[in-house]
Amino acid sequence: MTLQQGVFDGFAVLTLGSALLVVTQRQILHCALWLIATLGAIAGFYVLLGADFLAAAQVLLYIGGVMVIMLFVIMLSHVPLVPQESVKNAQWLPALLACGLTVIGFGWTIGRVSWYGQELPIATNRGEIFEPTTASLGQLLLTELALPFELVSLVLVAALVGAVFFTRRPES
Amino acid sequence: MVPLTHYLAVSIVLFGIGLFGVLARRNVLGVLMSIELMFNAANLNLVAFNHFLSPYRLWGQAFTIFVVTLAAAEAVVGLALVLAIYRHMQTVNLDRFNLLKG
Amino acid sequence: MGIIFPAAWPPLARQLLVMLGQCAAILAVINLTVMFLIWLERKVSAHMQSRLGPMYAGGWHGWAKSIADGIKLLVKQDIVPTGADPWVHRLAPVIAFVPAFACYAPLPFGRQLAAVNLDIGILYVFAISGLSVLGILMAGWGSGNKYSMLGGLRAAAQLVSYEVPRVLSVVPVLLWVGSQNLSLIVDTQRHFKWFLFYPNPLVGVIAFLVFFTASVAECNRTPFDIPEAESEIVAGFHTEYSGIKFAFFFLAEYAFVFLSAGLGAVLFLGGGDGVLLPSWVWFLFKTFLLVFVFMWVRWTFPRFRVDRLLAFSWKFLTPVSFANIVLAGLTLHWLS
Repeated sequence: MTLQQGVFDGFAVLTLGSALLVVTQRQILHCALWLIATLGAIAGFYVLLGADFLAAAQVLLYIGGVMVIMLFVIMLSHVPLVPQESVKNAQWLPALLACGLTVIGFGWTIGRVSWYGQELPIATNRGEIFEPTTASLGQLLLTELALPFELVSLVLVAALVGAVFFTRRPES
Repeated sequence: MVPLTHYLAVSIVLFGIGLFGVLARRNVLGVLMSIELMFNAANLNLVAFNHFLSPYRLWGQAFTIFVVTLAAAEAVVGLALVLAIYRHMQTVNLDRFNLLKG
Repeated sequence: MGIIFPAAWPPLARQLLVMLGQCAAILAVINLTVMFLIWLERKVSAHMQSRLGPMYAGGWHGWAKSIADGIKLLVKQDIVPTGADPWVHRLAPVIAFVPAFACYAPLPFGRQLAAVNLDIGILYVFAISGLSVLGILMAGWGSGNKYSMLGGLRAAAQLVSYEVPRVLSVVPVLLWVGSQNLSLIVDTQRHFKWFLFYPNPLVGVIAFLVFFTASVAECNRTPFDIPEAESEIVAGFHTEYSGIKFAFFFLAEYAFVFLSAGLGAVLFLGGGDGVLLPSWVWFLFKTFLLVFVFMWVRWTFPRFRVDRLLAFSWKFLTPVSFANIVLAGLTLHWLS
């Protein structure tokens, strides 16, 4: 077992274990903390896949941004958990079946594809050469993908205005 | 070397766990967190395919950046809505969000 | 005997041993520096207030004061409040403390003396230092105390607000150098082409001032120390912490101070560039100069009021950083 396989297995266990704990914990703050662990493990996967800028962006934006605001809202809407109220709602069993079928369906589809040796990365033939991605991503975002880039910035402005509007206290 | 199918397997299972969370949790914040799990599963899928099939053209990673940004925007608006609802109804239990029920 | 000697081990184990050794060395160096900084802070603040500061601990000017403080905090009783969430309470100081140390990895302590030559150096530093906000939020929640939670929320709001101008003020440097690699940024500033005055002094000075101000706010120091001020909500998020856990928060703050001073030296003052002396001496000199300015500012300015605090970041520092980026772009365009 090589180092890379071992690291991959470690990250996989961390991701899936944390995700399971996110959907099953009673105390909502614990769910948020396990989600932070999941997001960190995904950033680890990005590093394994050579996406260095994306790994740092994941930590900066998702963990340092989205999770901070989620923790804020959890603390501001702190509802003590009534002991007999369960984590799951009434339809959890059909939901479990649906998810199981989805996962099995996807898995079977992937298993049926013959990957024609595309399973292994192209760079393996010359050894793994890691190339930093920031410059290429920057050029891509400003030349070929400039239109989606501008549209996403418009969406962000709309989200900002919407969030401020929804949380405004009514003037009375 | 870790083959592509292993990354895809992790992505699929993560998506399934997120889907279960969305469908089965009572707390609306829990549902929002499960949606983030699904986004991350899709992102992992995109980056894995990019690395294995076209390592020199980074469209997959650019797509992932857009998904991260849009997920952040969606989380912000969703959380603002949750705060506004909490101020009115003093609860974050999805079963009680039934003002429109006939 | 041969089995113990590392040369006989498989290459993987040797690699891991070398990495552990590097981590231990960094930890030791930073811990010693932080303890020195605590003593320095006591002396500097004392002399600015016309008094003497520590004089007795260890003999000459109380040099062992930090060690004495550390021993005192270690032997204090470890209290977990009853209404608190025990695991969150215990984990919060760790999460506030570890990012401070992890950020030192790409910092170049001299020419080619960075621990890891990261290509995304500055982005990595900003991403990891943003993780300590989570520690503060957890500390506020985990204390089971309404005032701690409010203090934690206020501190987190301040930290998140000041992250924006801090990151934006560094963008002119990245525009000029063309890379986020901290060692490359240092190399581009060789022979006194420091970013503070080289392509455009206006851009350099504004960027440096915004970065410095935002860093002072990020380290929760006066004039931005609402989260820690005793006259505010008791002691804010670390009200319920005593002993070694409080020591962790304390150490994290000083580690961030040294990190921000080091970053300021690397990004704007050429970090290691100088004549005659070796590069690491110049780096340490510039960093300690900036640390002294941190302490000087602490005892010179009064504290910001909490509403003006956030308005200062969003309504002044952020637009100034944006204007600075535009100016830097125009400079580059005019120079080419």
